[in-house]
This record gives sequence, C-alpha cells and structure tokens, in this order.
Amino acid sequence: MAEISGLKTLRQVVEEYMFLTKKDAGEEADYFRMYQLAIRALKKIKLFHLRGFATVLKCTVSAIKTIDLPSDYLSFIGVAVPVDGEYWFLTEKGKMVFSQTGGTLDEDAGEGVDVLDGYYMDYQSSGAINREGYYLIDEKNNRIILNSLESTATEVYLLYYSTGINASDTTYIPDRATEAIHAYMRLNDAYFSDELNKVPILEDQYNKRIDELRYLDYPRLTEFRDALYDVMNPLPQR
Amino acid sequence: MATKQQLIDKVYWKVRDIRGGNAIHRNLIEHYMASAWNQILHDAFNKNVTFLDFYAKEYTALTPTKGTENQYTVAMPAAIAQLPIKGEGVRRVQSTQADYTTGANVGVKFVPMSESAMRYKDNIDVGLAENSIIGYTVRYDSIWFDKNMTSALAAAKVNLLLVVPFDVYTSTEKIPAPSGKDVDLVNLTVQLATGITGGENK
Repeated sequence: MAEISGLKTLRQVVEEYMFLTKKDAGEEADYFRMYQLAIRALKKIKLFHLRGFATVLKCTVSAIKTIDLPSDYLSFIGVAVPVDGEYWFLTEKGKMVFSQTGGTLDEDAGEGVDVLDGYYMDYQSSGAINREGYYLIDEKNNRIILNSLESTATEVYLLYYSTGINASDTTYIPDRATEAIHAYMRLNDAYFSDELNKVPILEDQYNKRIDELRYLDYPRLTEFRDALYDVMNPLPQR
Repeated sequence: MATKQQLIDKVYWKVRDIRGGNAIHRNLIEHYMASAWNQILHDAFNKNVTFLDFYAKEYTALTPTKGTENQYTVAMPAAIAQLPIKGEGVRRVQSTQADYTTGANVGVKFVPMSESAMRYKDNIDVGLAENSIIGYTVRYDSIWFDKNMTSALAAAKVNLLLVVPFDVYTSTEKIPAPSGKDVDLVNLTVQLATGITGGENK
C-alpha cells in the first residue's frame, strides 16, 4: 500500500495553509503573500533548525586567490580542501592582505603573499596554524579571499547554506517541517498585518513547533560518543 | 427559484397596487431590481464570501491577448458584480487545458491580486520561485494577467466563473437570490420604484 510522501512541495505547504486558515473563502488574494511568507519560513528553518541542508560547491581559485560566492549563498559554513576522503577546513584569518585593485596582486605591497607560519610546531608556537590555508570572507565584494593554499591546490570546496528555493522549479521540503513553517507564516502574517496583539501567543506556538523540530534533530547518544572518539588518540598522556 | 421575468412581474403588480393602478414600465423595474440585486449581493457577502461560487456563471474558451505593455488581458464577456474582495465578481479563472479527470494542468492556478501587489510580486522571491501560478487583477471590463501568463496558456484560452449583475441574466433564466434574501430583493426594488420605505408597502 502506497503511503503519502514525506516530502512536500513548497506550493503544497502554502495551499495546505490556505485551506486550514480558510483563506480559500475569498482571500485568495493572499495567496502570493502567503507564498512569500512560506519562502521566508523555509529559509529561516533550513538555516537554523534543519540538518542536512548544507550545499557543497567545488570552486576554482582565481588568479588573485579568491573564490566567488554563489548567487544562492545565504550563510557561510566553511571552506575546505579534501584530505584523505574528508573535508579539511581552512582557518579564518582577518589580517590577510588581499588585492586592493580587485584585478591583480601587488606582491610588493604584500597582497596575496603567503602567511609566514612557523615551520615547526613547538611549545612556543602560536595556535591556529593551518597548513592547508586560510580564508577571509569578503561579502561586500561577494567573494572569499584565500591564502597559503598548497601550491598545487587550484580548487577548494565551499560549504554554505543555500536559499534552498529553486527558481521556477519545484522546491521540496521534509514534511516534518510543515507545522513549523505554518506557525511561522501565522506569526508573521499577524506581525506584518499590524495585528500585534496576536503576536505573543503566535510566537509561543512557533517556538513550540521549533522545539519539536529541533528535538527530532538532536544528536543521538552514539553521535556524542563518536564525537568524543573523533578527538581521542591512543597516545600516552603526559 | 423564480425566473427573472417572474420576479419583475411580481414587483410590477405590487408597484401597480401601491400606485393605485398606475404602472411603471417593466424596463424601469428591471433597472431598479438590478440596483437592489447589487445591494443584496454586497450585503450578503460582505462578511462571508464563501458561497459566492453558487452564484457564478461560467463563460468558456476566452482568448487572452496582449495589450498595453505586452501584458495579457482578456475582455470580460459580461459585466460583473462589484464585491468587496480583490477578485470582485471573478470567482475563478482556469485554463481550458485543465482536466479534472487526469489531473493535467489543474495545477496551473490563477489567483486575484491588486495591481500594486502584482508589481511588487514580480521582484521578490515568490515571483522568482513560482511560474505556474498566474496572478490577475480585475478591472470593470477586463482581466489583466501577470508575467507568468504565457503565449501557450493564452492560446489554450481560459474559462471564467463570474458573479454577474442582474441585467446580465436573460428573462427566462432563474435568478439565484441568496437564501432568505428573495423577499428583500422584492421589497428593495419596490422601495426604489415607489420611493416608499419597506414598512409601508406590505
């Protein structure tokens, strides 16, 4: 026996909301407004409350040691290079000198020159040294600046949160998020309609739905155990 | 349910009684009844428009054409009732390609909106993310579609469900007066025709 899908389209979520809130009864004019609220809800919930929505993009490093942010970029997760089958994340460094012209690197002015890390790890060495490289987010210019990559590295992986909304195509949502999206829509419908007296109770409802959603995504005990094992090694402790 | 002619006759004889045998022309009564009908539709659905579909008439296979600024429009095949909702008397616009048996093209949806909302919508997420839902605004003589209306959809034509004013009905058509409002329709028409308020024309 077939069962209904655990994935919903964004449009189904909107139409379910219209149906439940009786907006089919003459307020169809709210359809696009509700759709917009659903998009905002989905972006927010994906960003903060749902796991497994990171987008990975392989980027080619430009001549001035930058990668461009993709147009669907919403929030940063990391820049990584592949090392033995795993992403090895670069470290953020705010002090890097980068191209001021945006077109070329003036090495005499220190632009793009590799950071001089201590070659040996020793007791007196400072921390936060990353042999694979560094990055600096430059959102104003819609790019990420890189430095100290391995000389052979021409590509890096950008992990980021996408808007997750497909343009002119179907956007799918896990059904477990539907109630939270509806609660967000209801809350913000009141908020943007200046029905502020309704906001506190709707906010409470929204928070409850979010709590339920997050509960489902809490790490399991085995994940905690694995996280601990991941940083342990069998070397003797001194 | 009485036909339009029966309703007019009913008022005609009542007005004639009130005026002591002096009749007024039936066309004038029809005109007054049209005003009363608009008033009743407006009153009946001002707070609850749920049942408007019942009063709608279907007009099929109308062809949208490109008008000013290349925006698709379709001429209204009949006058519509003015109602206090965005879609006015337009209850539904649907592509003729919709097939409720197979489900094909039923998802091509048309929704009413205001003129200004249409301008805003095209430049925000919802306008970019959805192109199988077509917004429309209603003017007194035409329906204007947003940019999601395609040449293929226009060529396929649209069907309309319209709530129409009284004068659109033919004399033999039954008039679907809202439940409990048929007496009001007659009384209001009599009032308009005679200038005598409801309390006196019993």
